[in-house]
Amino acid sequence: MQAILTKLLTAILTPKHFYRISSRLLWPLIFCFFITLGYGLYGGLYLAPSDYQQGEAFRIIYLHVPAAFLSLFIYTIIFLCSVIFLIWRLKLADIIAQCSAALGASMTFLALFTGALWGKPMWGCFWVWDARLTSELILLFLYFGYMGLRAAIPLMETRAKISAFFAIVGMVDIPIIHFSVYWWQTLHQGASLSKLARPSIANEMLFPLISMMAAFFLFYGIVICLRAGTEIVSRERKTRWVQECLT
Amino acid sequence: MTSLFSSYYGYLYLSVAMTIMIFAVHSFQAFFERRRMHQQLSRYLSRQLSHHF
Repeated sequence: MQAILTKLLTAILTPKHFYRISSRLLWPLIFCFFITLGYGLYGGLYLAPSDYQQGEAFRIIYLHVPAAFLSLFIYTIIFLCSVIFLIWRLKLADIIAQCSAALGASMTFLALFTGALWGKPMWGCFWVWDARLTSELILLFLYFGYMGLRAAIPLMETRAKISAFFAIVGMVDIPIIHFSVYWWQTLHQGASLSKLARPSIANEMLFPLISMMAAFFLFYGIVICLRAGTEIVSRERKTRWVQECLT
Repeated sequence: MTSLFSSYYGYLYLSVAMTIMIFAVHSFQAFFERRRMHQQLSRYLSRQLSHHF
């Protein structure tokens, strides 16, 4: 079973296929990104009514929540790619993990930065050593550690293996971040996005937020298409298919 | 400046500015890296071809 799966994965998830598919997907992704970003910003910053408690400051949610969500999502992708690399030795998994790290770190920083700017008017201070904030800060250090580790090891195979182990160990922080607001008494609020709980978020506020989240995810897709494509061409420059593509 | 931050708009604008900066840095870096790599490889391949013939 595992042999069949390995053959299937190595046949489909080749750098060559990924490069061709990502090159075709790039412009549709860019188009969708601008559409969702335009609606999200317009809806979030102008159309949505101000919050009855937080006033205009609540609009930071349209940047803070997508950034925080993407920071966790990207680390989960790095974790999955690391597991795939260690089991099936897929080069593509290592490439995607490598190309995701910088954006993941930036999104974590953005979540902390916008959170601090939201915290000042709401809590009266930029930072508290709250469980959610501290665990998110640890995630930023994990990203830095992952990128530093990759930069420090010159041998490609060793670098991929050691950084994959590091990413797997660091994964323990992701459920801690997610459940911290339930496990501990925190200043940070619980889940914001719920249509089932009462009171739930109003549709005028919800739709722009979903649109902004889609825009952030599409941006991740664009960056991966570009960066992974570049990395693939760089690693496979001596192969025939790369030479055919570029001549 | 004080009135900007007392009305909360200052915090919002600062958040938007930081987001735009991060998006711009990542997209430009990714685009230019890709372009540079393609140019380097094209030069390398044309040199290889000229040696070959």
